Amino acid sequence: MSMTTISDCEKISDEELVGLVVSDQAYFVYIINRYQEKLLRYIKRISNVRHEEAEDILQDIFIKVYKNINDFDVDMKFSSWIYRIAHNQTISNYRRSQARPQISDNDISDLSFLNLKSDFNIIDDIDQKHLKIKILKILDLMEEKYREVLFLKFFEEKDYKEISDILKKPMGTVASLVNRAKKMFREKLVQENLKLY
Amino acid sequence: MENSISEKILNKIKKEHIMPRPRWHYQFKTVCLWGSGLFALLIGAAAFSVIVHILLYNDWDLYRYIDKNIISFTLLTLPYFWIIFLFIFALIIHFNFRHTKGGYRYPMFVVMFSVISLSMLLGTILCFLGVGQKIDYILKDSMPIYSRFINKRPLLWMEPRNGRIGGFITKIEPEEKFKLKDFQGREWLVFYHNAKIHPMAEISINNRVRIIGEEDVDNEDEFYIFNARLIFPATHLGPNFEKMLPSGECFGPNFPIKKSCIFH
Repeated sequence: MSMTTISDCEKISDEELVGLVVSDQAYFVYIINRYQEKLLRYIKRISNVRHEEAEDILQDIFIKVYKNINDFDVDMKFSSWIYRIAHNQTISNYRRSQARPQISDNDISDLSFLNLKSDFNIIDDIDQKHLKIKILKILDLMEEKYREVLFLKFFEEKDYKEISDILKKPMGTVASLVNRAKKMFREKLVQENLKLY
Repeated sequence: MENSISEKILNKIKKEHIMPRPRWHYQFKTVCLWGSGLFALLIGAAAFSVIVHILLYNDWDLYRYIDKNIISFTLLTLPYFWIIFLFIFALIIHFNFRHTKGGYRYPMFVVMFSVISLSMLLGTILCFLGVGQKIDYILKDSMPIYSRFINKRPLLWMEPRNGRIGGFITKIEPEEKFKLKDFQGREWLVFYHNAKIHPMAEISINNRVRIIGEEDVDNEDEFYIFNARLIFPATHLGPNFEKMLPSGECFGPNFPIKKSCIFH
């Protein structure tokens, strides 16, 4: 590793770190450290595979990131690019296994859950855990294209541009998908007898 | 977990000697994408140049002798093959563009609209440079199927029973008659003393004409006889139309061609 110190590496931007990785493989560990927890959580959210399998997928993702590091486009956020690889790898993995992903409430943090709850103005007159389970059940029933945008928007807190870069869809399409997803989600909330403000 | 995952990954990279793909790999891919996209654009533009050429010389002046009204005539004679061909290449360009770095950011209708507009602009320029006509003639000469199914305009001038023939003048006869070799190679004796002749049509040897009139079906001579009512120029129907026939059976070294030799 060159003159850049460990503390420097922790402070610099993803894009600068990528530049260092291109010249010295050893800097790749910093990218792994920055993203492994987020991506592991994301893999489990959208596929609900076992922890061990999620780690295998995570490894494949980082290998892919490393192999394609020269393809990173500086016009895009690095987080969008790595999430795109993570998304594609996870989807292709569960399509290969032909298992319908089922979401577990363990993989949804309280903060993400609160984001969703406040956006849909859900009155929480029932136990939080039960409310979470109901919401996750609704998400599970939704079509993949709507579920993935809701996850990226509410659980990964990505904005429309980032979602557009991750899913490789025009921003207008993303906005339209999010609106339709929210509408469907609201309808299902009512069907599940969940009260809204 | 933190150390074990990163360790596993780094060990795998070292063990399997995994290297990042070189930058030129992506640059080459980009060049191929844009190159094939540009090529597809040129093909689309060439297709549009043929469309413009066909529509420009679409017998608009004589449509009422071919079909009921202008709308049904237009529907009958639109170059559907070339329109579909253009659309297919527009889709190819869209696919290519979507796979470029930022191409996915643009909605499909924007890309398709831009691609088709660009093809139309380039195609119009190519048409006025003669490219559309050249492609049309080359395909007519080399592919009999082209005139049968794709650009059927010459066939419209092989319908004597419907009062339409076309061809080139082979001999001027006295008393306002001339011999015509039609697009099937049959020889006609054309009477034109009652015909209106378009100012641009010239009754002289080797000139191509389109004729509206009636076939003399009661004629028992070896020549076909046609009574012309209208004579128009036909220079746009291609230079080597004799090759359009599916077989050479109607041709022979000796003229006149027998009446029994009918084109199907």
